[in-house]
Amino acid sequence: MTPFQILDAILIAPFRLPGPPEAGFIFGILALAVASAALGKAGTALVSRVQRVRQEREEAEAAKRSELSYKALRQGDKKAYLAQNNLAQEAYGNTLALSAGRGAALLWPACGALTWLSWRFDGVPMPLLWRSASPASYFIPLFLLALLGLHYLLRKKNAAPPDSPENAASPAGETADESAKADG
Amino acid sequence: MNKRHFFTLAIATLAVSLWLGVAVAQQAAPAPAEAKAVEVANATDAAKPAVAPSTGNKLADAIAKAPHGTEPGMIDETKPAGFLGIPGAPNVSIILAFAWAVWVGWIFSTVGAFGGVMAGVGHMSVFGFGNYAGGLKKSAPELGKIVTDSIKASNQFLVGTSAAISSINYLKMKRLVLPLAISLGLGSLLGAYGAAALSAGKLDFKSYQGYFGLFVLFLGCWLFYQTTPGAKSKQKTAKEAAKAFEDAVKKQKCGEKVEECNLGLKIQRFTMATCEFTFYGVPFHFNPLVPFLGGIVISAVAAFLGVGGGFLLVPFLTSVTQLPMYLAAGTSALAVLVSMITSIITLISKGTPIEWHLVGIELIGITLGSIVGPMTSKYLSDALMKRIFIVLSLYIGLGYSLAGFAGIKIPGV
Repeated sequence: MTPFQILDAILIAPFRLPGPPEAGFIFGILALAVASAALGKAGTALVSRVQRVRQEREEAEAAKRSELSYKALRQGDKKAYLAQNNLAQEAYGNTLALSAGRGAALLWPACGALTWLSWRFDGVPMPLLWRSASPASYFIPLFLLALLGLHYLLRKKNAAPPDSPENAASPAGETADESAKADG
Repeated sequence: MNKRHFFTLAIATLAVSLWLGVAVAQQAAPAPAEAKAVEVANATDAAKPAVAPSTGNKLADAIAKAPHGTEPGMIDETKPAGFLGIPGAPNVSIILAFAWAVWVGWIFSTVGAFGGVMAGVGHMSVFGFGNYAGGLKKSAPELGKIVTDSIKASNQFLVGTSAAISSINYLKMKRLVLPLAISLGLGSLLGAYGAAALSAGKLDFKSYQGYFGLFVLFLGCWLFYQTTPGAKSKQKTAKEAAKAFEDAVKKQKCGEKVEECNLGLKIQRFTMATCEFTFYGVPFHFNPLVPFLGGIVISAVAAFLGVGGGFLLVPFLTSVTQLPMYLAAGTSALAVLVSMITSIITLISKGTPIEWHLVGIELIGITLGSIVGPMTSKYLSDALMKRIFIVLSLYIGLGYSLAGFAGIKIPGV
């Protein structure tokens, strides 16, 4: 058995659960979407860990410039506000480019799943959907829902009591936001 | 209902509406449920399903219509299937695709948004899809346009979706100017849908290459302008003003209290002609029509070229409305998401084929590149990197524009 055949056997298993084939298909594609979302989340966590120093530096720069721009606003110094805001925007641009890696880490399992789905179900009409629908028409919305569900589950799991030390360790962006509010 | 729930609901409603809209629009004589069930059962039971003769498949129809033979611009059945399963199309080595994607990821994590341009260069020039699509212009225009759409969609998946996902972090900050978000979001929806729907299946590769080249050339000129004495002087003045203010703040005594009522954003007045709000007690105002039109233009350009619009929307918002950065980023995040959801659903619903395994491999490469980038960037000079990428973007932009619009090829592009 080749590695691909082993992978294929694993991936097709949920589709063959007893019951009507249509239900098996939808269950299988849901299982695949949840697995892809979980793998994507794990990949994002890995990239975030490696990029942490640079990411925190850029986010801190954006937050600092932003806070200074708010201070300039409060003091009515429009020139200083525009200057600080421009620097904050530059730092934001860097954080946005840096996050492409995290986005890629999140999405590659979905592309792998879509490759397999296209190979497996090429030319097969999708149950309950329109004629030209492909497995992607099912998989993409389910993958997005799975990501959303995992996000809420992880957030709930990581939620700490308001006075616990963990609560202070929020993502840099949120910290910046909160500190900006506190500064205000 | 708070703003967070409102926007989650709005995005979900938008996605479901578009999805259902596509379903209703394309619902044509569906096969009986029993037949579908049997086919699904067959597909799950067989080791590999037999490829059914395609009647509603745009790509299969275009391949069937194209002339078959061994001449350039023809479908050569004797050659193995390449890009999108087309016989004789370029067959990209997995190693090449992965290595190029590592390079793209490395650029994203060290130099910045130029990685998006490099992703496009990979699809068009390095992997040879551009030459192939261009060669079909006269012999098989329909197939050429489908290949062009697929190149565009692949670029969008590599660049746009990542940017859209990262925008969620800014959306979560809940710093939104609601009327501005609605105005910009509606504009983005219209722009992205219009560009994706109007260009799908109609854009030949040469035109796409020309417009992509113009965009890169504009980017290169802008980067070059940033290095001129005039721009540097402006930057220096702005940085000096920022520094002077920073020093002044440091000297101020801590503990200054600010009235709670002045914190945050307060909408004062919103009409069709003006939106007035205060932020930290300072008044701002803008014409809602401006972000609406800006949303249309930027999202249309982003969807048309297959790039993310976030890097254009934030500077647009900060320059036109003079909004603080976090407000601009948070508000534009919604527009980026709306734009990406719209253009991707539109592309898929129009039957644009996507080589998922290639996109998947490239995404793994970008992931690896973005891990390696921060580890290596300390050994490189930022100024040198910037100069190298200015030259590259000017060369690529000029090369693509000339090749696309004038048919003049310069080496390497």
